[in-house]
Amino acid sequence: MNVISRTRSALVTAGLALGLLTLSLLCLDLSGCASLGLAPATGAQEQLAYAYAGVTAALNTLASATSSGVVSSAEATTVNADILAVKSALDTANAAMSTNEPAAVQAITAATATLATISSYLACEQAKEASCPPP
Amino acid sequence: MSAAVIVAGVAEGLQLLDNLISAAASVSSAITKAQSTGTPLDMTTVLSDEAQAENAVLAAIAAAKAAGH
Repeated sequence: MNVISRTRSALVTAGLALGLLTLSLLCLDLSGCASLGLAPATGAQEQLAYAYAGVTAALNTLASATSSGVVSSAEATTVNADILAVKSALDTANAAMSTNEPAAVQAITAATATLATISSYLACEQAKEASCPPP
Repeated sequence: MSAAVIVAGVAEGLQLLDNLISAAASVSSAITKAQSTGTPLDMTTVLSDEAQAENAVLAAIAAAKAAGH
């Protein structure tokens, strides 16, 4: 990959990482979410909804990157599975919400952290750095 | 590096952020509605948006495979 492509990929993935981290982390915090002009997540259900939005954004980003050729079909398949694993964890948290809210919140937090890890992995891979720890 | 390449990269980055803002805005709207009406948060739209994104990825992967990429 030449320097122009690497720089372009870095710009794209930097946007991805920044975006996912902004939504996933700041929107779990009242003041952070409000500073973005978004309704604050005042309860676990709202946190879950924002976490799902993070998954949606990651998927749409992956679709766009795949369509534009930034990510290969093979890599997209792997990353898609990783994102869907996060979505599955959120589904589990959603099911547990009415019976064990603390556990659900813990699962949402863990899933959000995994989303951030996936975004970092994508950024690393697309920048073609020497070593990219898998998510 | 040409300015066009830089602009293209920034534009794609902004597109990604647009995806994020769009998804977050949809959730924010649902939360605002629930809080103003005192009703539980309706997850229908949130989950529907996510399902559509899943399909978009599958379509993009299929198209990339068909193109040999």
